[in-house]
Amino acid sequence: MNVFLKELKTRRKSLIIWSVVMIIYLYLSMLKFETFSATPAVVSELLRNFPSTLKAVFGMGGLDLTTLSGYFGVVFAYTALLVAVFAGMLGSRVLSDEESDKTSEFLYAKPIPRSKILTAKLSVVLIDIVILCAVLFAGSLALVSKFSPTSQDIHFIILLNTAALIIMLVFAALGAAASSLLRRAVTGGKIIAMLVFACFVLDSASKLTPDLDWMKYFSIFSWFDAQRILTAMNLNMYALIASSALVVIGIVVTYVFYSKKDLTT
Amino acid sequence: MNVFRFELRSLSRSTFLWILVLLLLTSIYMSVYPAFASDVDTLKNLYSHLPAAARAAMGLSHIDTNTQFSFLNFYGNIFPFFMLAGSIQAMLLGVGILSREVRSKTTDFLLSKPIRRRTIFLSKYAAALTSLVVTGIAFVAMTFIGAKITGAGSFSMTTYLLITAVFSIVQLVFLSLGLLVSQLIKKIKSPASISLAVTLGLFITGTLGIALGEDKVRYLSPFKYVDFLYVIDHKAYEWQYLVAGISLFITCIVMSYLLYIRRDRRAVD
Repeated sequence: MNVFLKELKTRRKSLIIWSVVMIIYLYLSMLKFETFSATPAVVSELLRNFPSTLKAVFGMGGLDLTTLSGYFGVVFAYTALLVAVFAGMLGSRVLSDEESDKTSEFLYAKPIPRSKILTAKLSVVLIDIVILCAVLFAGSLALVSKFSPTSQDIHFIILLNTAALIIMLVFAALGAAASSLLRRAVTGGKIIAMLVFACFVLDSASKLTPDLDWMKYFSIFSWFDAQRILTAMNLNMYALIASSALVVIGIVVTYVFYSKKDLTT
Repeated sequence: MNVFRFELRSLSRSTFLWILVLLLLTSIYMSVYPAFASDVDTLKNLYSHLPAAARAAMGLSHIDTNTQFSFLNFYGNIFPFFMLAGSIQAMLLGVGILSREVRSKTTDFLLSKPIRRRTIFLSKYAAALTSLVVTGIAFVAMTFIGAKITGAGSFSMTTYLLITAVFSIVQLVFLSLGLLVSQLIKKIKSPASISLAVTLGLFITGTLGIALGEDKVRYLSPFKYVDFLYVIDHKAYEWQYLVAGISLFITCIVMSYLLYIRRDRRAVD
């Protein structure tokens, strides 16, 4: 319990900063919606006739910015990208910080089994992710409320937030796994950073041309693509299965390897 | 000189890896060009069959399919992804190069050598710059060869170089920004997390800000100092934004230099 409380306190500052920054970001982005909703429908009609690669390269593809859901979908896609960084770093840092702070000897010499320490630390990760997600959800609802959203819009926002929560869980689990697998835990953070960036690139490249469409299977951001969610109005079943599998694998790897790890001091 | 050589050696692996990352990125994005070109042909066909009056009615009369859908236009539109990768590299480099000593507890070792702090700072900075220059040269070569392979045809060399140079400009700004961040924050536990958050944050600010028609954002986000459409039209940069970038660059370097020179370093933190 002490480990849990201590860890919770250590992570509190960054959680608060991230929550505040994400809310400010959402707020500033939504400020501009009014100018977009006023754009005549002719323009979106015109764009529909453009060839797809052309549209994608010029960044005009995808969601319709003149509707509340479409606009929010674009804004939220970037939000998901940012919170993925938060979650991945959190997952890897709860394990690596003891090493870089040179406190592993202190902590792991205490009469607490490693698995218990691990459980305490991972619970903190889970709690922080859920808190950030709750903040995002409350913020999104509050911000769209003044544009008189339909129940369809609200449903879409709930789906997007669920997707963000799942993405965060996946990156956190992978971050923890990376920290426990690598000899020098600090590199875990770098690997997760690269992973987020790679997923971002794969996602955006997959939309450019049908030839690169296969890339979408390798990026979690494409699994939970806002446009697909908006058309289907549900989360893709395979995406959910694959994400749960990644979370489970990440956690199992963490428990198995971290329990045996020779901690550097 | 020893510090410079040592840093250069320890940076060589990461420089090489980043060049590989860029090679992968440029291959992916440049390979889209043939599809883009064939789409342009479809569109041109579509237009030539439309009577002038219909084109005007649809608000398309001002679209010139020859200039607006050229290779350079394509290049300018995929360029932000290259810049993003480059900025992450530069920022990581900037954050890491001075703070590495703190993290690996070698500060007292290095500072007790008979070298001025000024020399240490400059050597490390020069090593980082060298790494970025090498990356920049490799990048120009990659995009140029990529353009030739994917059949871009002939394009204005000046415009192409002006666009490509933005990669290095953005890298320089982020290198200095990273240096300053590493001097402002006492102990950086995870350079990767700070670098990624700052670069992605500024990237999104820029992209979204422009999409939303906010011009002031261009002073804020280094990714938007240069508008590629403007470069394609005028073969020049818009100087007011570049000046903002240069001042940020100079401020960051001077501040991190002063902080580095004067800070009290504790042997064991």
